[in-house]
Amino acid sequence: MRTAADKEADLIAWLRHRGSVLVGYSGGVDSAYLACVALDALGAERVLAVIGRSASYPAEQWEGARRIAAQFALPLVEVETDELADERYAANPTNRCYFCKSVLWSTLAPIAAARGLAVIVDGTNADDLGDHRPGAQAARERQVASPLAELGFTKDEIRLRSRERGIPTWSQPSSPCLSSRIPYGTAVTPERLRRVEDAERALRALGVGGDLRVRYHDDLARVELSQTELARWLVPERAAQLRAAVAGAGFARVAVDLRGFRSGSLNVLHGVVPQAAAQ
Amino acid sequence: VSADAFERELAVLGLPCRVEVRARLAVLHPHAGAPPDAMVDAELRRRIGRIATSLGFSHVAVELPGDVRGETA
Repeated sequence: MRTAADKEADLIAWLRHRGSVLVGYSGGVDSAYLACVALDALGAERVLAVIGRSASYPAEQWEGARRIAAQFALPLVEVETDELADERYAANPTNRCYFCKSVLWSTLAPIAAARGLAVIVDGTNADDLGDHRPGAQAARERQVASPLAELGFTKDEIRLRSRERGIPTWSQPSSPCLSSRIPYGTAVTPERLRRVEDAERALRALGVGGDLRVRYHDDLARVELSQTELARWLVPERAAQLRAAVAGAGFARVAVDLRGFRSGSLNVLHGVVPQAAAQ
Repeated sequence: VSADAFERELAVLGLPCRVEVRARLAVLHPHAGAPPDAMVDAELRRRIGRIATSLGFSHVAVELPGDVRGETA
């Protein structure tokens, strides 16, 4: 059985074989690791990390992405990807991610070509392959490679190797885009995204740790917390603080999900994946 | 999904609530007599989750009223 270190050696060989890469970079656990390994393997002249900024990309994550790039001297470019302007995306169908990634990769492809970078890569990992991920189709259509998935890296292995390398994202919770908090069929708007982002930021400021999602249900915010945090924040005094923090972001009503955080929770709500599939 | 059936099951657990149905999401509004810190109990939360699933709900959440004294919002 190949260890995480073995897989990292494979990844370095994979990158060197390609010669140069443009990394679709969000500052999340996966793309930060991939970009840092690529930088080590290829050198700064042959790596470019590109952030696609939009209303669905949390400002806090953007700041984190810039900090990591600065810490490791990672060459970085930022581009605007206004996926909300695409009404097919804004209508929020179950394949919403396809339209977002189509805009992203279409924006990044000319940058890679102009700089002579051989391949575009993303941070998709092996665990992601079982999820409902319509964005993967957009990547395939544009020949975007996913070496972490291809080489069998699990999320835990990426965290492990990130820790070994001193990449601060190793313990960072997963951070999908803000649109993932809005149920399918409910339009994605800048105002709704801002409300979710403000609520999550307020909860972090209050001291909520671990995985956290504020799910948008019109006037109601449904807060998903990690199991450890759930017991802590359901104590009446703390619940009042939690409620006030979320209400301050513009939600009239606040509820706490009794099952806690589940990745892909809204996929279950809409029957896109069966209940047992959500973790 | 059935709010009435869910309410009956919750009452049996000693947790009288009104159940608001939003598609497959059940939002619980504990009555004044419900213990305010009942949901801190992880085992109770798991039991509520199992009941919710058996009644066709994919999600169950408890609404936090403004004063957090267990009153219906």
